[in-house]
Amino acid sequence: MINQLPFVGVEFVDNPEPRCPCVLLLDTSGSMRGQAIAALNQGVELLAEELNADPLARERIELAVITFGDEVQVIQDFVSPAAFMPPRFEADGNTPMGRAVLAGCEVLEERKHAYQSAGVNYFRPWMFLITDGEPTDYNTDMWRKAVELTRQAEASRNFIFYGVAVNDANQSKLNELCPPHRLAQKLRGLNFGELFSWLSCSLRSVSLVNPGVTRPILPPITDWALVKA
Amino acid sequence: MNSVYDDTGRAFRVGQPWAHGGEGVVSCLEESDGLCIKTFLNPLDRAQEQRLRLLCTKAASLTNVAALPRSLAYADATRTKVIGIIMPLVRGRSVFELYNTHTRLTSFPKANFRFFIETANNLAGAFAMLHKNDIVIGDVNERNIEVLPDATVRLIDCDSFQIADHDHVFTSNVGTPLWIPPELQGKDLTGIQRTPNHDRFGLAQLIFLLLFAGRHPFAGVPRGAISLSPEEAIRLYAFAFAPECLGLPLAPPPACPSLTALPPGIQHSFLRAFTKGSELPGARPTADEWQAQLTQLCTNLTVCTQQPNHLFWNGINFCPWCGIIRETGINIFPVPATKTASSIVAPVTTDYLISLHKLVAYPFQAQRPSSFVVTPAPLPPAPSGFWNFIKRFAMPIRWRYRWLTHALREEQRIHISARAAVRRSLHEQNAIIAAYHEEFQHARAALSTRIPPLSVLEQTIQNSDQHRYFQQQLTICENRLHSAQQHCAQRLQTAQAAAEVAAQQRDQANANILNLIKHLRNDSRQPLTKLVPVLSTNAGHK
Repeated sequence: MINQLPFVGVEFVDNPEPRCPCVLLLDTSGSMRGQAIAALNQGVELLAEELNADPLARERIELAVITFGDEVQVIQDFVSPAAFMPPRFEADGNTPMGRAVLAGCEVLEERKHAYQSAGVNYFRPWMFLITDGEPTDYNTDMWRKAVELTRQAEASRNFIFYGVAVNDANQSKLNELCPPHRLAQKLRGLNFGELFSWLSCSLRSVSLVNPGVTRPILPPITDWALVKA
Repeated sequence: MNSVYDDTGRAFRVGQPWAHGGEGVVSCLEESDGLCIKTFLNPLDRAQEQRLRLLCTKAASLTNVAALPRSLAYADATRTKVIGIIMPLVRGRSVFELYNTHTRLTSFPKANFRFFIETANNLAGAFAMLHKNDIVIGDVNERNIEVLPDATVRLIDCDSFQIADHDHVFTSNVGTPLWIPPELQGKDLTGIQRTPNHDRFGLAQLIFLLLFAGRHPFAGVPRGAISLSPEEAIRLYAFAFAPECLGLPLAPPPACPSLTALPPGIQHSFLRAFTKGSELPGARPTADEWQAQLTQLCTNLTVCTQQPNHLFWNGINFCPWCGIIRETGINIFPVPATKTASSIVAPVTTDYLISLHKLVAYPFQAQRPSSFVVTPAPLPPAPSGFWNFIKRFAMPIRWRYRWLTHALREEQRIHISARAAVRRSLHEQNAIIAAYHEEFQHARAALSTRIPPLSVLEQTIQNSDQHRYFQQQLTICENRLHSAQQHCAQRLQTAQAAAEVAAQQRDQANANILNLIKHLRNDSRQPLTKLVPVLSTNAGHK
């Protein structure tokens, strides 16, 4: 059963395309019970479907899913959309947001090492946080470390952090993690479908036509965001 | 929007949408198999309209290489409002579906290395023709080039081609980050006039991708600590496959053919195209030069003796594709009949269960070293020197007592340290085994983050990609565990060997101590503990 395969790098031999890793940090705390978690489930399925439909995105984008509720769990390590099986989320527990961000950063660092040792390029990774409450580890070291990491990441162009607040989320605390030019947006109702549709468009446009501007041009967020007039 | 009119006033009916792009929608035209219409989302500005009209004039002569617009499309018969362009429909697949091994196995299952060279050749020919007609492509990228099943290529998305009128140059204004040549990286491309030398960067990159099965020329293993983003790598001319002497920040990635697997002429062309100095006008190889070299390469291919589907340049004596199989187990050019996606059957879940069950930790155990039977060493040499000589004759008993107890203390020291070494090595063995078990847990946990739990696998796996992925992950986990097991076994062996050596020392010291005690006892009739206070510190124990 044991062939001569190395630890990692197997998937880079027959697909050496530059990768765009995307970590989804999803709040599955008790407050998401009911409609919210069902809509979230559907949204993630939609994301996988849309990414799968685009042949270039299918080869380039890699998704990882980390949920934080009862505990911070890496539900899915980085995988291509074609092999992604959308997990079923269940809502239960607190909101250890700081720890989730730290877990996301760890998983991302590991993946970057894999890319570097396999000699594969990667675009600036995405970290996408969806929450509907406030961080229960707010005053701990972990939260402070998470805030520091996201600030550093923006400064050194390490990854793009995007926060989305749902329902009664504490937006000011979420904004501590977000960079000043990309503050957290509030989701209109439970429009996860449109949110994930926007995310798939943005991920696909990362490597697209770009007339020399350094920041990625994202599609407009008005489809899903509650934009105050 | 069902009827559109072209320049001559002929009416067409718009049919099914074919593709969606950032600028517009491409739809088929009914009753016209070879043509389609691209309807723009935003109204055209005057410059763009003029450019399209110019391109229409060149369409006829370049129909074999590019899907240039045949005519503008108007909303009504009065031909006042331009809503799009009518152009030939290209029924092919994007070039990235050809050079990427993963997609190639479904899109171009019969493609081998010769097919790649022929496609590259035709691509160079297309570029040559466009440049001869004073058109500069500008935005070269992997989605703009369609490959037909007979290896011919057509360029699509032609509305950003750079073309010159007698008084005005209609510049391209757009570019794709990984395809912009180093001298233009990071710049705002609006209004910059591109030259054929800029196009040749894209051409060289495409030919590289085709000849190296999808490996990007600027993707490699960072030589220093800093990792480069793809755009930075291009800006620094960091061609990853260049020879080490050039001192570039990237080294070639593992598991791919090296640049030396191609004829020296092509190697030199790639270096000319990608390294510093290529920004000078006329530096990069022209499309004609590429064509000549690729045609020659096509005639100089041999078939691998091991794998009938492997072709390589006959100037080297080993098959680079077999090298990849040796390194990774993956065959980039499998024999077409067996490896189509539909032939990969979803596994029965019990197979999977069996593999998962086989993933158990090896029951390593710490071993105490065996006891040795040793003969006691002879008595140590008596101390020499003038005073010792005097003492020996003046007070022989005391002298002998001192000599033996000194030797006894030495042996005791050795015994204590040897016993400590044995204990240490036992601890170390336990630590090694604990580390192995921890690694095992990690590997199993990592596997469970990549494949769904067994309860989900009760449903059949949905597609062959998922099956392949799970198999890969399972094999990676098995290999990781196997390697951890071997590592643990090696370390345990070393620790046990050290333990054996220490045990031998300890047993030897023990025997020597007993021997010395015997001698001391013979010398005197007094009870031993009074005679030798040091004996009360449990010497003579194992």
